[in-house]
Amino acid sequence: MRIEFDKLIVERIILEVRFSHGFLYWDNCGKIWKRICEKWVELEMIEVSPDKAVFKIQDQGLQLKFSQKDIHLSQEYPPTSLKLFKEVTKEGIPLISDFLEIKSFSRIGNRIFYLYHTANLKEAEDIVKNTGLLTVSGDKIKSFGDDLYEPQIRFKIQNEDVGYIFNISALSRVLNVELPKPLKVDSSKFITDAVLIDVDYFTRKAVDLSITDFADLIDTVQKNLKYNLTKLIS
Amino acid sequence: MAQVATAAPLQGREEELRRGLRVETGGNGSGKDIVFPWKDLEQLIQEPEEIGGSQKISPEILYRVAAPVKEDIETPKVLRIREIIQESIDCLFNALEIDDELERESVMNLFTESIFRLSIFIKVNKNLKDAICLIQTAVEGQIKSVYERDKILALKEVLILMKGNIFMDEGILDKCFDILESAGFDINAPLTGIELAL
Repeated sequence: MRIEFDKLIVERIILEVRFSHGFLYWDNCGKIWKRICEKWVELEMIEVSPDKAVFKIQDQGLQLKFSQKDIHLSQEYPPTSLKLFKEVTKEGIPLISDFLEIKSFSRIGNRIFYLYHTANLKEAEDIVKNTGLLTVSGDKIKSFGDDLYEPQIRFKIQNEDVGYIFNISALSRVLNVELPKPLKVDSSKFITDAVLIDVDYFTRKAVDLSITDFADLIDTVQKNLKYNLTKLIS
Repeated sequence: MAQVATAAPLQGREEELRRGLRVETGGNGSGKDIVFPWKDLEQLIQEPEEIGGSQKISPEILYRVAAPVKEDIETPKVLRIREIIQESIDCLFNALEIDDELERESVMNLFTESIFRLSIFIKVNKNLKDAICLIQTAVEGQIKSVYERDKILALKEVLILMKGNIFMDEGILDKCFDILESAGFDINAPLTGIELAL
């Protein structure tokens, strides 16, 4: 079965920048918080400590975290347009970087967890086994047992500037949330069986803030995956 | 190496869905984080753009899309701006090599045209907008005069700065202003004749 890109569900998207010498975190945390709140009024403060500051927009599943060494933004089940995610990265990261007087990032990472919904675990396993990325002959399997289960493939493709880490596996999981009676969890949208395609794009050289448009960078990664991911795994 | 710290629902058969755990993106492919060559904070703050220049990614690589049909891909703004700036710089390089004044001025006309094509990008960044306005003002003030070599060199220097700093800070903008002003451009030309109430 061929995986179609349009049928992949983005379960989580992450954008992270790392840097050195972000010591002004300790001086400017409050100022950053104030400016961020002015831009995105729905942001709630979750935790602020000398290690990190964490903010969330609960309804949107969006989390912003920054510290003296990185800025980290993630969103669960973002809308296809990634509108809010791109907006917060495009405006939020430069804003925080300005306060921290960071002009270059040692690494930019954009990681996306895609789910390809399957009827059951067996179907997910078959898809992973048929990607052509995993070849274990019948003889080898017979030496140990009857069949190959829970296949998982992890590899990295890179050049001197950028790279991708791919992690493809069959996934089966249960939702375990306890609520007091009489409340019940609506888990109809929770995907239990799927092929998980975890793609982590990263830069291998420093990147200047002055040439970085995070929305365009996210679009670039998305386009590269749209054109090439299914070719890789089919 | 800070490797992948994934949240619970991502692996295994019966993982609980735990929320609020941090998921990082993984390594940088070299097995360790990039370490900058600078030694102290003072060095970092004073001249960050000049440190480790050869180890930086160019925008052309950062925004490169490997697509089957290139025409379908809309080029990111950063690259479009850089292309126009590069065209303008090329004009200046050509102008510097031309001895004939009339011929040189016609190349500078092409340069002027390129510079005004940048107007559509003024919303990209506030400081870039000011820099574009600055250079357009300088060029407009020059319409009735012939470009001297120093002025062409100054324009080239400013454009190279802009090309490397599309999302520029005020420091770079100030530098652009200083370069143009010291080359003799009349940056305040639009205010000529206006009496300012001080």
